[in-house]
Amino acid sequence: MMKKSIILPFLVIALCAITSCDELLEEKTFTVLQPSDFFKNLEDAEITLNSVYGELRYSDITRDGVTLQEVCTDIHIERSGGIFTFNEPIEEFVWTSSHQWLRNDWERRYRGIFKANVVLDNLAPISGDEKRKEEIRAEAVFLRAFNYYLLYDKFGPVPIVTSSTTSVTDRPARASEQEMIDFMIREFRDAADVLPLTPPREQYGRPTKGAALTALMKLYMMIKDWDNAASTAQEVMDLEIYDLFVEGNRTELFSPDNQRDNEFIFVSVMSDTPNNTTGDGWLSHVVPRGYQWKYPPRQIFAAEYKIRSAFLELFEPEDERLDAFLFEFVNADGETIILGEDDVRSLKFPEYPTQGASRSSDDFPFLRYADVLLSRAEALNELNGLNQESIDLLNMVRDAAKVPSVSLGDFNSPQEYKDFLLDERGREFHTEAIRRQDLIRHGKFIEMARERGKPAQDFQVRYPIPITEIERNPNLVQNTGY
Amino acid sequence: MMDSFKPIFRGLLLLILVTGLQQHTTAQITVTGQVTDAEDNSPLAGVTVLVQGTGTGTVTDVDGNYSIEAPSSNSVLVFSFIGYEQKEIQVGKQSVIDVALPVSTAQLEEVVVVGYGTVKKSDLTGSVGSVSGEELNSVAQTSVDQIMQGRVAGVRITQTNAEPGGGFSVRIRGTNSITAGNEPLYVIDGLPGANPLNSLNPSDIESVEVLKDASATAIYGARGSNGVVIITTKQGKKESPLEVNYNVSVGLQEPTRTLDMMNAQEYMSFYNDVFADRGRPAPFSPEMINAIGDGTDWQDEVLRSAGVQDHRLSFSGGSRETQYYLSLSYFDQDGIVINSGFERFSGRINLVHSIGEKLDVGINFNNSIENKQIARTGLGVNVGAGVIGAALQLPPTDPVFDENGNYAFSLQDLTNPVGQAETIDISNKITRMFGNAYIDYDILRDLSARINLGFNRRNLEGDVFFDTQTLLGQLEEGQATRSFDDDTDYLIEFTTQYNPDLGDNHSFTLLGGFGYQRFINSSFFASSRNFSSTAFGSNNLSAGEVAQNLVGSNRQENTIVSGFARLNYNILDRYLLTGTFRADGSSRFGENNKVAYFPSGAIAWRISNESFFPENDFVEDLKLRASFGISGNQEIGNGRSQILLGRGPVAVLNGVEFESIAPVQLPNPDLRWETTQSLNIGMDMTFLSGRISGSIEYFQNKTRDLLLALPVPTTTGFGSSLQNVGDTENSGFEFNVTSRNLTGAFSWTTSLNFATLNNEVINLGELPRILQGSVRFLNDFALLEPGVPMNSYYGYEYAGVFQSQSDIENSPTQANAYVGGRKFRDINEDGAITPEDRTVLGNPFPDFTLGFNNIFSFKGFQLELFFEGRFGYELANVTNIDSENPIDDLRNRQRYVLDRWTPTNNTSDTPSFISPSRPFDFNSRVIEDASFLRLRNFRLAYSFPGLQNKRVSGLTIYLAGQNLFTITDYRGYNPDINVLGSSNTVIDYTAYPLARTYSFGVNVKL
Repeated sequence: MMKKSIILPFLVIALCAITSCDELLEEKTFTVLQPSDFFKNLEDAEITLNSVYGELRYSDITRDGVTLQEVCTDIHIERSGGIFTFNEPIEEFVWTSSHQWLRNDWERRYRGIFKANVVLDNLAPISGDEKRKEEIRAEAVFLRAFNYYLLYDKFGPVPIVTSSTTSVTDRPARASEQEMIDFMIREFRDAADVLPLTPPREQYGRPTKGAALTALMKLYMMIKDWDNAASTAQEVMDLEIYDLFVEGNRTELFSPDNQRDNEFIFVSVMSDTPNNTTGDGWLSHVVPRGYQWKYPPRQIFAAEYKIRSAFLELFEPEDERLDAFLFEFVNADGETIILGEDDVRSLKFPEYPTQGASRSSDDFPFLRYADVLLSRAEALNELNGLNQESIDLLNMVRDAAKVPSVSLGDFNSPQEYKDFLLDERGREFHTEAIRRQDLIRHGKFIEMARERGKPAQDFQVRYPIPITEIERNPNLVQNTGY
Repeated sequence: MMDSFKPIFRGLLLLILVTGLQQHTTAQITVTGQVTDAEDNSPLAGVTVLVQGTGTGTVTDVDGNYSIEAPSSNSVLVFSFIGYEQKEIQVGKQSVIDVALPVSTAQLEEVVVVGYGTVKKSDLTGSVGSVSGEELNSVAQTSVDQIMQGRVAGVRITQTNAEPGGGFSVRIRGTNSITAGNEPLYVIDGLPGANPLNSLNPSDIESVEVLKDASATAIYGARGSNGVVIITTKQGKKESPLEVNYNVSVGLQEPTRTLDMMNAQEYMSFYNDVFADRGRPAPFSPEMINAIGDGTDWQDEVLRSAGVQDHRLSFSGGSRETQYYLSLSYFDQDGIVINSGFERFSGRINLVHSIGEKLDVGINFNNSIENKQIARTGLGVNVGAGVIGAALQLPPTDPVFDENGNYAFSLQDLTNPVGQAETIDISNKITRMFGNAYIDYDILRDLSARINLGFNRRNLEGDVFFDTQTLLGQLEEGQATRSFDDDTDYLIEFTTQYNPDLGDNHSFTLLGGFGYQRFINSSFFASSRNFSSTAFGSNNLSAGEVAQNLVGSNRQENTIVSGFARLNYNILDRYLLTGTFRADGSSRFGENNKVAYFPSGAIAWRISNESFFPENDFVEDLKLRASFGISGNQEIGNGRSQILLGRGPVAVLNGVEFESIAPVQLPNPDLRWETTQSLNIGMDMTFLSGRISGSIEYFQNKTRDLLLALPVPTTTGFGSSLQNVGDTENSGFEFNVTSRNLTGAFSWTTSLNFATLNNEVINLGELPRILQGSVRFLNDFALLEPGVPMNSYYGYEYAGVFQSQSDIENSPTQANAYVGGRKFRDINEDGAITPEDRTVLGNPFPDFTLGFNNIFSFKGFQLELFFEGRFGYELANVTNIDSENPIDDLRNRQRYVLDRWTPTNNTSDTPSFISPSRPFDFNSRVIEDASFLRLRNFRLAYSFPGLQNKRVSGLTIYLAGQNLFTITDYRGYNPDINVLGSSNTVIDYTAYPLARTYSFGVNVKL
């Protein structure tokens, strides 16, 4: 009897262990969701769309942009700090496919593309307000195309992925030059056809019709399709949504009060309460040791981005845009410290009263109306040679900066105009991470680097595809020269 | 012969009783005598002489003499001494009893704890390292890992943080897994689970067994492949009187080493010279240099001598029915970095009670409370650099305090380390409870069953407060955080054991069981900033700025369901067979592969028991054994096989932040167990009647289907996916020997363990290599590549200093090359120094490890010296990169940089440090030979003789020391460190310095 009564509970436990094994081993999740819990309505789709915006915006967007797009040009250099590791090879034209920031950039773009694909694939079956649904789709289409545009800018054609069903065995090959361009044109057009003139759901930072058209215009400029570039610029102008900021000193365009002026067409918006992931980290990378912040406490990083003195020679003395630079400052002991040769700083994006220790609310501009005007001016000059409209467009930007207008008679040839325009673009867009592409378009990127004594080679107009990516995907063919 | 005297004794007793009770009560018999070594007749000091069944006892003096009062002639004296066989002698009418103790061959009779049971050491077929609690010198030490360092062959225990209560990483027979966990499974009194860390009072430990081969570990199947550490705690003994043991020690600690930094004058003239070489104006004027003096010695400011005290009290004993072991301990250690320390209270109850002949119930319960005050150390750079990092980089020209008495701020992006330690308040309170209750029932004479219910809970309460007196505190805006983290698991287990009597020639034991274990983790944190007063610390979060409030929480669970069986079969005491089998189901794996099976088998042959084995006095025992089996690894975290949606990057629209949800990983419904096939061949030997015993073994562990975070094309949207890809292999020899070199009055025992290890990545699927590692703006310095040890250091090979412009021109093209600068080797000989020239710079796995213990005894004195050594491995001294090429100009550096190359000091191999060019910073100059030999433990004890029948029955005083000296060429604080914790990538960077400890202690037995 005794035996039975003891064995019984053992057997019960043993049986439980066997029979309910499957149920016991079912994995439950609490802090993360399973797909069956989600994508039930448009709100869910929008929450995932947020992640695409999140991938596009990041706190070192200006810093990384300046390194990859300006440290290799006549504008910026960087000294000291741990990130000199990443700036030195770019400045010296000895970058390789192992460069960490190229890899980061590539990976960030494809994370954004994947998440946009997740939105697009899951949106279709959801029913809801059709207009809103179509807007969400167009936002995702635009953001995906914009990521491809940013990839194409640095690396040339890349694999085009348009499905969220990806697998570890995927080994996509690069698209051809034409496929890549056609894809982006189609997508930007698609987005432009749907997106409204003002930000969807009245949230600044979402792309508009103007953003899609301007991105398309930039793409046409990049591929030197002057005809389409000029006409697309005109399309943007005809929207009559945008104008230049002339209501104050030209540098105040980037001030807290004006940074959402209608001169900006598409930007990466930073938070009003910025933290390490939602603010812009540029300023702490720029100001010199001992600089007295307007709104302390703020961190001054060991790394320092500085302006090449030769670049400052492009400015006329009355140019308001010179006010964006820090030439000297007064330290805590009341001494005036003068920043000398190659030591001036770009404070284009200013301090904000509310800011994190090293992050500010400075939006990072991707597309700006001044670029539309100067692009059309450049395209028309390419198409028609010296012409009055190009002069007028250029003068609109110069007037805004309070520098004397130019006239047709100031230029002896389209090339002279073009060179002048390139300098104007430098004065206007420095620290906005587009100089590299401008110089490449003008055929001066390599030439100017050589003039600075760098061992630049022609193939370096494109960055190499990250070696990690090549190792993982044998179907990827590296850019020539690397 | 004794028997024939028994009637006489009885008669004598009767006579005494008859002649008067009074006489009986006082008629104690004084017995004296001498105890000698049976072999060489030398006197034995320190032999315990006990009157059986009483608390009366004594120890022999230096000449082996003793004197004891026996209550009656019926009394039995028990003579025992470590390393000798125990002898029991009835007093009878003798008043002088001389005893010769033979050297013990008891090693073979020793019982070793294995999974779900025990076996005689002589019957072991697998590889098990066993250390008894007595052998572990645990003075002023807190964790099992710490006291096990170097004790068992093939077990490498590396410090991850030398702070009080700091952690260790444990690797048994190398490192199998690249991505999944490599720490062993811990089983405490039958409760499998997490490392007990500091929660266990070392004096409670009866023994620690390390299961190394599959024959031993496969019974723990899914969790066995990293080895198993079995900890058994002390139990009360049947029919023994109360024994009270109190041990107290107090100690003093000091840093084992400080780095040799430049003083203020050296620092100023160094930078003046470097700036001059760069063609830049001198940062310091001669007046400044003359006025500065030595400046601030930042290491001196943050390091100190610190005290440690340790109290351990235990009560044990038992009746026939109930046995108990109860203990309490208090441990308090100040750290050698200011404002760091650790305190622990622990208590234990072990009880066993017998109900009738067949039923036993028992409980083992441990509770501890740990309070840890943490000085910020770690991997931070610039303003985030911790106390040590900042102390090693701040200019010696900077003061600790400014003219107003506040913590001084530097122009460097670094935080005053004294201010950090004193005003950034980081503390942890860990409450850990674990224990098990069991019921044993003998169903039949040869069939028994057990129900084991276990429970383990660790609750961590963390507090962090950044006072605003430092730069970091200001940047954090006075952030205060309180967090809770709770790990709970419970176990239900049922086992039965059948060992039928099959006569003399055969015996077998069959064990079978089921188990269910569930693990739950949940956590919560809240923080705020900009407090109305810094006096709140983290105790009033609502006083912070509402807009800055942050909260978070997390919950996860996992389950293991198991069935297991083991057969031990012994034929003629010559042929031993062991077979084990375990089926484990884990919630962590893909829906297609939840369950896996782990078999193992082992055979052993005791050749010395064969009739053909020649009779001889030399070989006492000789056993050959071999095992093969499969065990698994499931340490990958939860939810890794599913499609999951989690928090994605934050969107900002209109200046407002919006949360997002996005897929967090590529799903893998086929995710399955990582398995290790383990082969072990060994030989156990005992010579010269047990004076020398040892073993030698060879192992080969092949790990397949690695749980690898496989790098995948990022066009998939992800950088990696957890896949079963790749193989690794670990193999090596292990050798153990214990020798009683001298026995007798002066005795000397030596134990030596020695192990070799070969670690190799065999394949990584399609990938040619994987580079990983990230610290201090340095990336991809650890290499995974077939044929190379896991995470070998990978970088540029230094080839000396460029001596001249023509040297540069005749060398491969190198970016930013300059005379006096670093020259690197063109490994691929393509004429240029590129990332393709990176090569393997070092192997983080020691070629061999050594533990070497010596115990000398003489007249109540005992001296123990325990050395640990590791040889033939490299360590990345990343701290030195801050001297080689600091993140910023004008940071302090180690003094060796003064010997920099200049045109007049052109024989120096130290670069001139003119250019801060960084791409080659991870190079062979910072990969150092980390081989070391360290005196881990020293203990000199004296036990007072002649305490029999006293209230105090034992009194020992001792001096002890840890880490008294280290012989090494390594230039950092400590070659035995991995600041990346249990990671497979091993580096040293601004680690908490190692302490040397001197202690004095007293052990009192009542």
